[in-house]
Amino acid sequence: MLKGIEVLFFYLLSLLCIFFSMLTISARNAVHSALFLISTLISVAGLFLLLHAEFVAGVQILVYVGGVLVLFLFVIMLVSSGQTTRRIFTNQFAIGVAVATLLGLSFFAAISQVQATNYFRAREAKQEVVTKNTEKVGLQLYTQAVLPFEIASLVLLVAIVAAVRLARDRKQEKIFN
Amino acid sequence: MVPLSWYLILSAILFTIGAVGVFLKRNVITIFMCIELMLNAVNLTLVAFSSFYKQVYGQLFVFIVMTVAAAEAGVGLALVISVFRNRETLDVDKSNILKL
Amino acid sequence: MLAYFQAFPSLRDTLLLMPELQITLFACFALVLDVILPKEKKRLAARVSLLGVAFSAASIALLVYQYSDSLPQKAFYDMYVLDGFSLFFKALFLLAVALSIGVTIKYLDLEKEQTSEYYSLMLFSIAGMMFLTSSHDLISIYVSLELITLPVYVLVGYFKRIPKSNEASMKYFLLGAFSSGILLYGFSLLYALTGQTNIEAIAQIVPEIIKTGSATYLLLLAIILIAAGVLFKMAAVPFHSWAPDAYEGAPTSTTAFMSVAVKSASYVLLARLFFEALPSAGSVGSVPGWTQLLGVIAAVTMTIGNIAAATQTNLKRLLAYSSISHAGYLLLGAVAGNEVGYTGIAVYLVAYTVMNLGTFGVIISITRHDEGDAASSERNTGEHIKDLNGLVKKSPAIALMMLVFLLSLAGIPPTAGFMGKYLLFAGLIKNGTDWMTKLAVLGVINTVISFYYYSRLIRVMFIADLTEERPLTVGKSLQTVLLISALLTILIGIYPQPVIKISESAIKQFGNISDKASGVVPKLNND
Repeated sequence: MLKGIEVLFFYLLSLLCIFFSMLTISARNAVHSALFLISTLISVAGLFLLLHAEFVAGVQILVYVGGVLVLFLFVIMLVSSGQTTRRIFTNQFAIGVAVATLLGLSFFAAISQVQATNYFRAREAKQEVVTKNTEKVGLQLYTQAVLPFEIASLVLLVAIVAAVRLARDRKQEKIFN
Repeated sequence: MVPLSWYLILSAILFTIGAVGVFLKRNVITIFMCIELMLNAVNLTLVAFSSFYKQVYGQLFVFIVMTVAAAEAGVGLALVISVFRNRETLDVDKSNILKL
Repeated sequence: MLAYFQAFPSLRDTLLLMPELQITLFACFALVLDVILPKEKKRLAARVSLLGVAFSAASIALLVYQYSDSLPQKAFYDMYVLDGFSLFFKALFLLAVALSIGVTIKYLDLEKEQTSEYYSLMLFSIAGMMFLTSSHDLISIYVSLELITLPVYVLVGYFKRIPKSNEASMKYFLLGAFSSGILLYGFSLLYALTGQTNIEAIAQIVPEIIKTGSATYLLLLAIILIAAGVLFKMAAVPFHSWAPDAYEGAPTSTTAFMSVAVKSASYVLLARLFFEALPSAGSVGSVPGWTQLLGVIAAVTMTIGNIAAATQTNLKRLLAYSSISHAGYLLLGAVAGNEVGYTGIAVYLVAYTVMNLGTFGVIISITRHDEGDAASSERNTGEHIKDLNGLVKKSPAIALMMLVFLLSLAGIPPTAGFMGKYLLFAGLIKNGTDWMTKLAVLGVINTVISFYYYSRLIRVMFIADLTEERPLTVGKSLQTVLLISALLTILIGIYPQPVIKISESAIKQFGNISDKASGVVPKLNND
């Protein structure tokens, strides 16, 4: 019974995902694109929940939707490119189609081979589903992954410096020079 | 349990949509959004396999990817603002100082 | 001090991290200096950065002294590894950044924009490279890669009021973010296949996948995506389109830094991922693997880079295409897949660092800042080939040094560039496969093509008449950089044994070296 519901939710969320991501790239208005992207991200967060990754799902909503995408919206408003454009695509349609077919074909070949040989079923771990996901991720983050964690903090510092350097205007520059 | 390959297929579709969008879109900000879409495809694969292998390496990876994506978005959007101050357009077709 | 650290086992990890920590610390220090220092004293930040580089170099020496017999040392739950390879490249990156700082001091003076942020960002990027050399896990490789590129995006667009610099930065950023997305998807597929993020664990599982042949397509797809990401970073054809624009639009000092340090970092990435994690996937069963893939890319990259460079009139664009062709030569070492080839990559990167920085140093020394519209893209002279006209009449010393750098870039003996190219081609020939020998021949043909456009520059310098009467203004820092680069270029050319020996010890750990027994040095002595 429960498994049936899981499958149902998977179908629902993945259809939403594909639908919204299509809309993201075909919307005429940048604000609409951003809103569709937010919807995509929320459905991906739902899929994370299905996969018992509660912590990552929460971070996805908080950081991506609450932080990054709101920043996107701010910048769209700031540079006032919110208006609708008539031509939304470049004239590189040929490249786009080529990329899509190439990627599509190679994914199809790869995944159908994996399916046929049951590669993943043979490798599945035997133990139970990870419970207490957040606790486990937190513990590992500060032990196993402490080095990338620290480097990521440096990346954030660089991002701050970069944003300050690139985005302040003449008036703001005068204060410090 | 949903078969693992479905997740792989879904993430492949998302990745392809994002990659195609990068080539097709004209607005710098929407191109950047397509890149975020690609990163999400990556995250989906990582989380799916993390729960499949019953360990959390994949989720740690996702956490770091999200942090870096946030930093990248900060830099990218700052760049967008400074380009806009100079040129008043974000259309990649129109900015042709540098020959393609 | 060492004894103190060793008394606490948990501090040992921190001790291993010392070179990176010092660079980071001084980067933050330079950042703070920007606020404290008055405008005319900002050059102090460059000195502080150099001091940081010196400290870091000293700790590398200390680490070599301490651990040279007990390498590799692992730390941070196997995420970090200190081995001969990482020590070698950390030293190389420090050399590159020290020379870049010397070039930058002069260039920022020229632009009247002496700010400490520049040095700080440069140091952050170098810290990322040093983390990358030691990263032994996909997670830390990815995050250090981002630490390398984020500051460079800013450095490319550092003069934000100049549209050209700005748009170069935008283009580089979009393509860079796109390429790290592709690389990351490759990483996620690799994780999907192996369930591991550790390089060593992956290296153990991948041969099984190839042997059972049950997921070879997915593995190949992962390899292609990862290769695409890496080739993007090193600006190999067909992923090179950002390089000429970014190199031309960026401030010349950034171009110098990018073309040297970021390029070397991409080869570190290549080594960690392909030589260490996926050596067994050189060819996947009966299907061609990354050896053949990189072989084709190398051939195309060399040829297109050289042909495009021959048609350029802008010096920075010309050097951009020349750097693309050098990416091709360097890939030859990876294709050869033996000790000689890998040594060739290491030696050639050292040679490339000194000769390319020297060339950009000369370009900066002839750069003039014309008064006028700051937004105009033509305000700097010194970026056009004709600005080299009659350089020998103005300053014989600089013309002579430029001659050395150009000959080295073209690979003419007795220069460092020749030594590197010799090893790269020798690696291919030693491998002995039919198509590899042909590739080596193509490499030699390309060297001849490249000599055509380098000799054009030489002719202009020595034969053409002066067109720009104003004298050169070479600062003390730039003079030092030029001298060091020229001396090293010649020294490595005539006495390469020490560099080759160090390079050999740096690359000896990589798995698929087929001919461990025979070294390069004795063979060179016979020649």
